[in-house]
Amino acid sequence: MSDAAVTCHCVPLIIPNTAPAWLADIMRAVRLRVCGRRDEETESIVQALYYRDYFGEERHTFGFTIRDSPDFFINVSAWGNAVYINTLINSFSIGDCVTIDNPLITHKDPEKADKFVPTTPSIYRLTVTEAHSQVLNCADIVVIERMVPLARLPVKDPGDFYTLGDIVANGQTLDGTVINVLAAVRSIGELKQFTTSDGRRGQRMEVKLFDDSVSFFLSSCTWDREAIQLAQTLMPKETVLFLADVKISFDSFRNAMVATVNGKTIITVNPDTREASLLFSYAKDLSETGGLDEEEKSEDVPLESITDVYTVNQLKHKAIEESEPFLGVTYSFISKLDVDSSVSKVIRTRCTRCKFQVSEDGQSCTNEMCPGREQGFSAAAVFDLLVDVSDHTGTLQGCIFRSPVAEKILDLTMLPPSKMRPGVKGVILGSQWLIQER
Amino acid sequence: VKARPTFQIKPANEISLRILSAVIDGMRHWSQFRDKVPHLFELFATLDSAVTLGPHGGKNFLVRDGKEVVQCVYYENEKELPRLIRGQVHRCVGNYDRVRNVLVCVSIRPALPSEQRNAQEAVRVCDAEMRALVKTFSEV
Repeated sequence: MSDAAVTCHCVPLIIPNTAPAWLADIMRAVRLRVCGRRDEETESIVQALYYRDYFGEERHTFGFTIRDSPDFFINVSAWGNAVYINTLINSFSIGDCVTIDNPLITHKDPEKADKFVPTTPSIYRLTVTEAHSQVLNCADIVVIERMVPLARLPVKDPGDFYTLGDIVANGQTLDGTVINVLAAVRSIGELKQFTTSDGRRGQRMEVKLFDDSVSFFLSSCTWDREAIQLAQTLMPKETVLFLADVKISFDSFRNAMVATVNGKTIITVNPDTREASLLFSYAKDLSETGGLDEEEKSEDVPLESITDVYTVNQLKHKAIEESEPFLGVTYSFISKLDVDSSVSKVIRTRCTRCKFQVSEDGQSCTNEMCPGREQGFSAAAVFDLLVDVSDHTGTLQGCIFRSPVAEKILDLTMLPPSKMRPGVKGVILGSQWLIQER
Repeated sequence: VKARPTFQIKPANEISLRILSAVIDGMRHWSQFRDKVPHLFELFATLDSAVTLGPHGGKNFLVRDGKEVVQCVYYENEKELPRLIRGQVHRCVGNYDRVRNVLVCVSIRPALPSEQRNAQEAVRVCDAEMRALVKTFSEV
């Protein structure tokens, strides 16, 4: 981004013939494939980008990367007024085949090189301006057919990637490094708007990844509108991604390693490589056998990260629309406490380590994944209540209300088993009666 | 609190219990739709009488907001009525009996400062929700 601004200082006015004429001629004839593109128009980075030229006009820029063979790809930056750049941004997207007429060809800035843009094998970069160049969608079927397979080739050596297991195993030694990752998409998060401490606005989206070594890994896209748009089209559990040059960092909030897509990253969706196809089959099998759903439930999310607020009615709508479990906050009243059912439905015995339900007189935890299987068995009686919650938009029936939250809210503590039942029974039944009194 | 994903109903036509924050006037107004929308009310109002003993062990008192006053009754069962201070704002949750003009309280306690701050906004939101809902009745 600041790269773009610096570039502009170096070449304030675009003069088409600074590169050798023969090179410009060749470029004019070649059809190129868009394989990644950077959008530098997001509000978040406006300050770095708006550049006043000698005529006092604001200039906008937008960058993308094109490729026309398995081995070669090059960065392009377009410069112009807001209208021109916006039209250009909307005229094509990642994966389209375009023809670039008469771009300006310049050497890369040796100092900045590819600091904020994808690293390319070329020593050149292209500049497109309204006055001199044209970017057109390619309509030639023969060319398109030749170009399309390129979209599914990673821009890096297909064998040069880290598995998620590698990343987790390396831990914080990988913090801050830029690597390639091959992984399958587990779920797509929601688009979140945020404001940085210095007042700039941006957007962020999180994608959960998995592979055969790790079942849950977070990847976040920041700033980049184009990467977010691409991510929104991905089918969870049916997509494999090759993320070239993704930044790995340690997220202290989640206490885990996280991969971040930035301006240098090029994402290849369902790459045409052997490793990707093996991972794809693995993901499909796992998804069909329900292996992914199981683990989703045990995942623990920090409470502070749950910020979406819903009314009861909105919750109902969302529960119907959304197949994935979701988290949120609702401000509502408990309007029914189901304690009419037998004690076994109100109080359950659970393993203290994995919270898995066990029989009251059980001698061991029946959960094969329980982390404490070897360390001897201990179980505790906990509340497991069914409640209805109501607000001004309606009532959500059959919500599960468990210890330790239930204990805290009801202000009741589980007594040792011998005394537990009579004590609890009496008090909660009172609450139930209280509601029915209406 | 987590909703069961199997929970499938058509929200548009769905009738389930609503709990409405209201002022006394609003409570009287919305209670006319009782047959169509089951509801309870949450009132933030000032205790404006002594607490007296009524028939069937009921505790009677008045609450007021602005010029409006409503008679309340609370039946103690496992939970005794806490000591209420006249002149203080209380949070009353209950069922308004239109015929007797009595709010049958299921819960009453002093209102928290945070609740008092939010009360007006809560009432506004509930009113808007009810207005929209009632509109759909008249359209049918």
